[in-house]
Amino acid sequence: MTQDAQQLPGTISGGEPSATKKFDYTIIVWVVLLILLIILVANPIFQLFKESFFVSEDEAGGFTFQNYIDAFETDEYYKPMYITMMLAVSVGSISLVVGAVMAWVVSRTDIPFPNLIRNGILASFVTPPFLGAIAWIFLAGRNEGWLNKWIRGIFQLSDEFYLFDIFTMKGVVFAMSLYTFPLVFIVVLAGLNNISSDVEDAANVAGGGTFNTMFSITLPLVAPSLFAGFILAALEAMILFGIPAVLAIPAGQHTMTTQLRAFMVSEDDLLGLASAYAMPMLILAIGMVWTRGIVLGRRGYATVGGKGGQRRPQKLGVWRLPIFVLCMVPLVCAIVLPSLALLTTSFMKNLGGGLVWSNFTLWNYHFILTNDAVRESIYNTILLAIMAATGATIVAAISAFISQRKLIKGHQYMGFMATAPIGIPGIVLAVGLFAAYTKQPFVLYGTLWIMFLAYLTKYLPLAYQTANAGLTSIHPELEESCRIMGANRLQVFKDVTIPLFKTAVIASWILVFMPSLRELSASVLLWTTNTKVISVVIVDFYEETLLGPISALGVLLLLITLVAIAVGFRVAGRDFMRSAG
Amino acid sequence: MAVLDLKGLLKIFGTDVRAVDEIDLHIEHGELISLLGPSGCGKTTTLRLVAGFIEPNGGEIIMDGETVSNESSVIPPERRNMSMIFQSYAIWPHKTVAQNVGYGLKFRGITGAEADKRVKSLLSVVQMDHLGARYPGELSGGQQQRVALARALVVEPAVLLLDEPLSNLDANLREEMRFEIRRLHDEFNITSIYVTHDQAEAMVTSDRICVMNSGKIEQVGKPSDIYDIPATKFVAEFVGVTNSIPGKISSPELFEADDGAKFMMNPDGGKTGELVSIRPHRIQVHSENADVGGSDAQNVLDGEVTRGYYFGSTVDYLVKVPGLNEPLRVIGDPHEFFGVGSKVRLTIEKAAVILVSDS
Repeated sequence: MTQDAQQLPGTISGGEPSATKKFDYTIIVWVVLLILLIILVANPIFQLFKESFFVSEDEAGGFTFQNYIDAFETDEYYKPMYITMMLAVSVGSISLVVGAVMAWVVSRTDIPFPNLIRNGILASFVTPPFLGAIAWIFLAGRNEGWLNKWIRGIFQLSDEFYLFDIFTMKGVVFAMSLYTFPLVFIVVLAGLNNISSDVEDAANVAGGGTFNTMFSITLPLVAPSLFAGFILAALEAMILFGIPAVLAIPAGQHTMTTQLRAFMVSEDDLLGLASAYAMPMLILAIGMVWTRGIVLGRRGYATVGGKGGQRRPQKLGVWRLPIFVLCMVPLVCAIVLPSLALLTTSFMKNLGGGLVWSNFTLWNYHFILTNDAVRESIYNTILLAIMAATGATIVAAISAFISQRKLIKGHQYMGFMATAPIGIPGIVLAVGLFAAYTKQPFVLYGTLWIMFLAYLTKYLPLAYQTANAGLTSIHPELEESCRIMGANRLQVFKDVTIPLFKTAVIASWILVFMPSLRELSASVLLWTTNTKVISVVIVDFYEETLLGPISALGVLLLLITLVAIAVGFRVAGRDFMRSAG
Repeated sequence: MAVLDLKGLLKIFGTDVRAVDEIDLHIEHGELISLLGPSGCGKTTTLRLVAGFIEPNGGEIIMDGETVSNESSVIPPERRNMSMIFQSYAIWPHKTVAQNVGYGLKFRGITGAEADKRVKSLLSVVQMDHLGARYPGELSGGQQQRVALARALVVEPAVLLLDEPLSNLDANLREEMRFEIRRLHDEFNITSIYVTHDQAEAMVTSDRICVMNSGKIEQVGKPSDIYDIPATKFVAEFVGVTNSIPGKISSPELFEADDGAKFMMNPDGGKTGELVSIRPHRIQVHSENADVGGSDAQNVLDGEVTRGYYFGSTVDYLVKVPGLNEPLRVIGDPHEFFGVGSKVRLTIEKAAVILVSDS
């Protein structure tokens, strides 16, 4: 007989499973999560629906289809939809070609420095699209653009000549594609890496040549990834606000997102019209995410890496270097040139003044660091990013833990709930939040809280997927073995679960923190004078053509992001950005 | 050491899946018993019930006279003074080998120099004393398995539970670790339950084997009993290969196959049943018309070889025998090889014919 065994009689009724019978804590967990889901998703979407069927000015008017008729009958409102669809298809197609070819090159050929290309493409997530677009104005503006000036200088052409004009729909497509092709790249690379090269070798042995194998074996096998990549890129092009706001509006064009904002900032109360206008976007976006899920099957989100074993890379021969240079072009356009342009401009007095000492100034930095409104926006941005990252990570970590450890009844729905907002475009969510929380009894509009809700909702799926992936790698037996060695639940948590889960939690925090720093499409509808954030200030400055301060703010934003990434690499390891895709 | 009693133990998953279906099992002090069966037979569930990870829907688990689990209360795993070896080893990747092994000691009030001494001594028992400072990621599968063994034994548990501990090892290592586990059991003599689906593992390691199927216990007994005198068709076929011949008892100790062949049976076998089980290597093959001597102790049958595969140490025959619907599988001696079509005479000792029930 052991001592422990002798203690048993007194402890029998204290056994844990019986304790759970006395008090069913699953109800509390469900109630809390349900309330959260209602606040974050259900109520805003419901209010959006409701508003779309009421005429805003006429409270007594009651139910009407007038908003839908207005939204889809008028040419002025119909055209942005057409433009948006065209944008989505063109950007999706270009991204598909560029992203898929680069993925194939990195995965299957003897290209030099494949990791440089891979990591460079991952890094292009660092530049916010609206900053990239602004930087491209400096580079490819019709008159003052450096690339145009440079060409005129070389070929001694007149001031009338220009090669690039970013303020065109082509320019918009170009700028968007720079930030959407990485989505295709990541999905297709994962797809390619998951195909065992044995399958391709078998085709070669059976007599298929390199190209025959590629078209009859490889291509059909990655077809789901190609389709998913296209959907992702097209969806992103559809819901982006920053690039069309910066480039299309000066060109006299609206997209659905900019038109939506025009409704919301209008002198008239057009909430009903805006809600109706947001519907096709919402339905399309959810439909696209849903289709992608079906096509990709259970591999809902892909990770770079994967298995597949040894590969025999295809020899590129004399094309090795030219193809490498070609692969670097999108990277240079997406990261190197914009960053350089922003950095240079931020130290210039006059945009057209050239790279001379007399044109050097620190005024832009002085301005943004002393201007009260800007300083407050920096404070708000960082505060909001910390709040969103912390909030999303806590909710994600708890729901992932419950889901993986099957802790409560209905745990299998946990993942669905945490990723429910995944298809909702940021700007549509913002209209919904505006509709839901500007009136009694929940007046959040005008506070940071409404923006916090927007960020939390928008990034919860990302945080959940990261936390969930991290937990999957912790085998439940690691906890059970701790238990049987004599540790109670709390000690198991402290000694095993937290140390092993920590990395994924930190990664998920940083993965929410970074995009929250530059969130624009929801913020631009929800800000008020006291709750401006950096991205909103940049758009403001842009409308006032304060390009120098924009560059300085942009550099500051990039610096904060880089610090966050550096911390992430250090604490969570070099692969922590993988689930960003 | 401890005595364990499972009484009417019942575990239902969902609404009607009876994973463990009212089983009774008594385990002696210092005994190593294995739960053997195919996947889904309830063996792992039984083990987890004993560990206290899950609660039973009925029945009870009694340890040294005290109820540790029943329908209304379950003592949590950490208060049972048990150890467990997991299929995945479950070595904590963020702790060194020595930290892994020493972890359980602090809960038993053993710290400092005494704890270090015990960790060192256990590591040397499993031949890992030079690797205490390593992290698990730097170890091979076999070494991780040894760490898991040391970690489980260092706390001198009352009961040791092993959940398919060797299934992740490659074949050679698995064979070596079987003997290692038996050696450690002989050294520490801890009451142990060993879950496996591998009959050879169960044979080598266990004092007794408990064969399970569909949540129920088919048979409990010494390895030789399980093999030589199986109680059911399931046990006979799961533990080794056999010929199962359906028919009925025609007189005491005489079995008549459905197609007419008659067999004298082992009187120590089952008394009721619908089949006899005959192990292929208990059947001797002789040439046609060989003089095998008339005896009450053996059955004699004539037949024709329909298949014969040469394996070096044995020959694997199928022999068609009049009066039997299915050909008999026979493992023969290779020094005398009979080709396909050869007429042969078979002799089967009475002791090799075991009456089994069909359930």
